[in-house]
Amino acid sequence: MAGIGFELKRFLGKESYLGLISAYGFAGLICSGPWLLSILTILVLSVMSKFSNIPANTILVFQILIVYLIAFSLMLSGVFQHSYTRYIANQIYLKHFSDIIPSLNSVFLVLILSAASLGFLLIKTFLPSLSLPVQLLLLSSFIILSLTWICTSILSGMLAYKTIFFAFLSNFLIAMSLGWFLHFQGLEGLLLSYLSGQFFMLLVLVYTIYHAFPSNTIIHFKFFTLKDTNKMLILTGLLYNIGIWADKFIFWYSPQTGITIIDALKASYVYDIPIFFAYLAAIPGMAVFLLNLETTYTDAHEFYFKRITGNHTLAQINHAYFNLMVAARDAIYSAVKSQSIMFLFCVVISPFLLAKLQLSSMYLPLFIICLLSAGLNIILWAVLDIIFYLDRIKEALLLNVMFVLTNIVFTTASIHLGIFYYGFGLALSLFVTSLTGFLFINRIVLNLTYETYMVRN
Amino acid sequence: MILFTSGTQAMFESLPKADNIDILLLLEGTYPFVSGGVSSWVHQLIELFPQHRFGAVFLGGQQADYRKMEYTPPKNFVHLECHFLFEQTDGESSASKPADQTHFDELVKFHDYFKQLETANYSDLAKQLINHFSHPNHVTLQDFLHGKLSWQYIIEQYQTKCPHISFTAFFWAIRNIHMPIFKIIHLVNQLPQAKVIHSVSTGYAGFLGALIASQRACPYILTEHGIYIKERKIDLMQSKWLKISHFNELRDRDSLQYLTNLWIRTFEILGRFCYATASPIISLFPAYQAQQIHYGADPENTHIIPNGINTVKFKKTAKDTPNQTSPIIGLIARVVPIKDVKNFIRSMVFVLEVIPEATAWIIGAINENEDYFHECEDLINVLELNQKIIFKGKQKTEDIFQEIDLLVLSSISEGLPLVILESFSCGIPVVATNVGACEELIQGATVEDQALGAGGIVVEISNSAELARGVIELITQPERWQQAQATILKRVHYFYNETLFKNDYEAIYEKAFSLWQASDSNLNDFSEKKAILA
Repeated sequence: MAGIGFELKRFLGKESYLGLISAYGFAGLICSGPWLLSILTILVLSVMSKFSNIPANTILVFQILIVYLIAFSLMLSGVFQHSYTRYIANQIYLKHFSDIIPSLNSVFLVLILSAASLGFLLIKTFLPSLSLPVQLLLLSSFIILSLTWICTSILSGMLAYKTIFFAFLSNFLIAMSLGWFLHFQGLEGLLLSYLSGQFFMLLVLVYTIYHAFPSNTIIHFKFFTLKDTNKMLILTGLLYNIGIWADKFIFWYSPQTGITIIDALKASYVYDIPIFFAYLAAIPGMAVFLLNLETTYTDAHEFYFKRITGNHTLAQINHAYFNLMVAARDAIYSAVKSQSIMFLFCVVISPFLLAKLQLSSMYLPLFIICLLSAGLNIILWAVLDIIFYLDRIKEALLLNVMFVLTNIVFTTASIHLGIFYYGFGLALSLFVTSLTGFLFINRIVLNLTYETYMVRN
Repeated sequence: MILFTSGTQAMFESLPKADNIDILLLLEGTYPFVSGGVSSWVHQLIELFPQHRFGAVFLGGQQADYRKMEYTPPKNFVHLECHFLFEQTDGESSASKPADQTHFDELVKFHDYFKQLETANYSDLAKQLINHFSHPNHVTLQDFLHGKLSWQYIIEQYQTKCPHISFTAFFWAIRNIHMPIFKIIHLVNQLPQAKVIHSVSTGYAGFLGALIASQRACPYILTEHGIYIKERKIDLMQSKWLKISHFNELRDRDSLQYLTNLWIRTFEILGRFCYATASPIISLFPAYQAQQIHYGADPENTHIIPNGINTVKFKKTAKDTPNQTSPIIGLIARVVPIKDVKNFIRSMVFVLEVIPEATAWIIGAINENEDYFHECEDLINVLELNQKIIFKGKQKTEDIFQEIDLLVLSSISEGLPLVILESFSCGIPVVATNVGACEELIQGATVEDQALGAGGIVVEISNSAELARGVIELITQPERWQQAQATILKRVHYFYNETLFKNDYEAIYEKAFSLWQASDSNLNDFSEKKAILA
């Protein structure tokens, strides 16, 4: 018989929204893991140096090397952070569990090759005076760290917090105990203990993932058949990590603020210490926000999209829409509130804190502005998280471009304006970017139902 | 897989293209990509008129549904273009600026005209539609799919008409009802010139024909094998039943009821556009002619031309009596629900009780609805008929008729099945369900036809016991079988001969060509007059 046969199910809409929800339910966590780790690493090893009789300079070189390792490995793996997590989330949503390991292996392969070649070039060019063993240890650590960030992203996505905690803990225990015996060997000993801890952690993480998603295929490159959304996500992940580190690099390499530690590696006493303690102070606020986002916003978000994909009337959809609006507002308010409280609290106790840490009170103004930056950073992260939830990759990309550019421009300006303005660059950049993010969210949410039906289909 | 896709792509890109077409066929979901009765008919038509240059516009759902050509078109098939109405590609560039409120309101007003479903002047409306869309600021598919005006209108309609049903279901129904219509309207200006338009169904193809005919004032012929509106109703009822079994909430039943009605109305409106503009409106047998009139065709314009069969190709079998002990019972049909293959399988249980050595062949494509095919296989296993029922796949039917003893057709819906004529031409009697023209074919249509006798047995639909009784009677009573054979050989010769078929269409085409010439010379006059005036 002539005529186009058709099935009603094709006409009842797509069901892809749920996949995206699960993809972004943990977008925030992915950002927080590496932060925590980098801050704690430096903290623990600084404390250890106090009880040790090895030359202070060795400890300093070691610390700076680790900071650079973390910065570069985060930037490199940031390329895959959002894009690959989204891919995994989609595979999980589609129940293509056997695609996870082969694609993870392909990402590992690409990361190992690029980390090895990039690391080799960087070490040979900028750290020629280091001994060959140290160079090799650095290169191995660089590769392993790059892989670790990808694994933590996936495991946070699987909500395997216990595994992550256990892995981190064992990492530190191994690094510490090995460090206790090996630090007499100098830089080589310290780096070897650090590398061992990291390596053990990677093994735990990889084993957990491999165990969770058995597969018959070793490797395939389906993830690398890049679509436009993937390209944008790659750029977003890269830019976010560049943005986070841009002000630090500018302070390190400005003649007014940076000093040479070893070869081409520089640090900035005036900036590094306050910013480091400020981010440490932001951790409790981050936890509060995370909890809030996971409970209120995620629920409202899922509720809204379930109403759209299910058989519900427009009145019911609109009801869920208002819920979502309120939840989005509440999530941002709670981030602002918790960060404000934390900020005020820290401002009050910071003179005592500085005294306890045996730091000069000259640091106080800079410390306060850094506290503000850390708080604003959490707020920006909240904004990005909601934008990712709403699957607005373009807006997320724009915000990250803005973050990188403003951070570079404002930080450079602050250094030229003089010591009083140090720290204002990052704070202003975060403030402007977050504010723009609020406006984006406002616009997106106001037109959400129209765009969900009419623009995104 | 990639190679395969690019092969399909290459096929769609290398279709024949020509400009000077005599007859432009409008084919919806059929020839040359889908095999079946209508497609064989189209192929036969093109072959019968090698002196005319045929072109075709193929309308499909989505490109992925059509992988290869099922027919090798004759040399006089000079043009083929394919358009996919449910493909999510936008027909027009998004560069044009959004439609304004005035034009949007103008288009929306058509809904009011359609409220008087039966009395509206559809040939006038076709002209108005063409007019609206020729304006540079007309509402585009882009406006409809993504525009704010369209969104507001959809919400407004939802809130006034059906605020209690699923909004997402409503939204997709509205979108899927309108999207193909926008695409069809956009197509009108892109199609090549032709002397005559000939559509082989109403529906989207028929609607396209209506618009072309209104715009170009060219002759427009419609041949309908089944009744499109009725077939779509069956489709909708089947999916509806499926959906209700999934969602038991009352609201969903309401939604489906409402949306099903919306779809049926759409197909009725499309059909009325077609019936109002086509002439002649051809059906294959009287019952469907009555249906066409019921759905809006002018009785004066309707016409019956039954199928014709090539008696040389389908020559008489050597059998003059059935094999009574181990007969082969053939069902020639694609394995799809509308053919009710399960009914045939169940009937074999009864047949085998009486004729234990009988075998059943199911001849036809098994890959069109794989779920249904597997259900059939399961049924055969449950009934323990594995040794008795064989799926033969697609076969050359002219060879099959030399082997089988009886043809069975168990469909729940049919037009005028070509396979019965083929069977008749080969001298194989038929047991068929009482659908479409089956009764007329087996018992005879006119008084003189009926006088020839019965060419088999007609049974009621979905009744396996009765179907089995028909088979048993013909196989176990050879004299009845022989009488039926004598009848059908005569019937084919007198009433379903290919020559008769050819003569009828020749007359229709000749008349259409002369109409075209008249209108064409009018046009020439007009342009000459314009030239003089200038």
